[in-house]
Amino acid sequence: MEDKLIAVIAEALEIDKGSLNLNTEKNEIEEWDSLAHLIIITQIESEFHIKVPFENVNEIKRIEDFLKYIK
Amino acid sequence: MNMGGKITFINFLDAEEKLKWEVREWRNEDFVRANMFNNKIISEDEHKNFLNKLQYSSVDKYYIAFYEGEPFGILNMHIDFNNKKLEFGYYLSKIKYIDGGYGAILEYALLNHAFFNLKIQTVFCRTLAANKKVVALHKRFGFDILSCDEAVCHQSIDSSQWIDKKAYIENVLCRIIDLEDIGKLY
Repeated sequence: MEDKLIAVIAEALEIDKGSLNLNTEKNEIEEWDSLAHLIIITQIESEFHIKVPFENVNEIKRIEDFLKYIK
Repeated sequence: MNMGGKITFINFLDAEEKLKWEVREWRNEDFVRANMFNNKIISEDEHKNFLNKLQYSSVDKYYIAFYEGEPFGILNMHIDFNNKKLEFGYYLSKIKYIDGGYGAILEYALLNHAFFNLKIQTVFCRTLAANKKVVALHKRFGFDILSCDEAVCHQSIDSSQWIDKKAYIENVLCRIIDLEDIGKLY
């Protein structure tokens, strides 16, 4: 599941998934701009059949923050 | 994830007096000033001068953006009607709006207004080079980098570039908001 999460994010950002891990913060990745953030969240919602409440969107700071929604 | 609300804009000059002065507080927030070319605190006198000048300017426009009636951002543009050029900028009123798509909505509304209503040919923006996320956001909207040094990045987009990118941007924004719920600038 964690590998799939990283793969989804890497694909959305069009970067090598080897450059990401659960501790990666979005601020570390130049390609992870605010529109990319929306793309990532909606991709994760679709892939994992979950919903991230809109009011929580800006609380997601690093990849592991997605785990509480998909576990 | 869906915003589930409406975005509206009002011209700064049409705002209630109280709101016009609240804008000064937002502009003076640390997180806003950190990404401004002028990062000094704006005094009451300076804000008053700004309001006076804006009243008589035909080329500088400021809009307050609202989400469900709650102000979330300021969008400004300087229009060169003779050369069909426009330079814009924006900032969000509160940290909680960062990364929620609000900046992208402002940029989307601005580009549509510039190219389709004002018939502008080229839209420009300047961003502090350190503000890499916003430079990247502009690139995602189709902006080219004209120049970028240690201090500042200059970017531009023309109408054909926006027409090429518009569908892609709409495909992302429509995941969080019905595009018809994004109000028009006037």
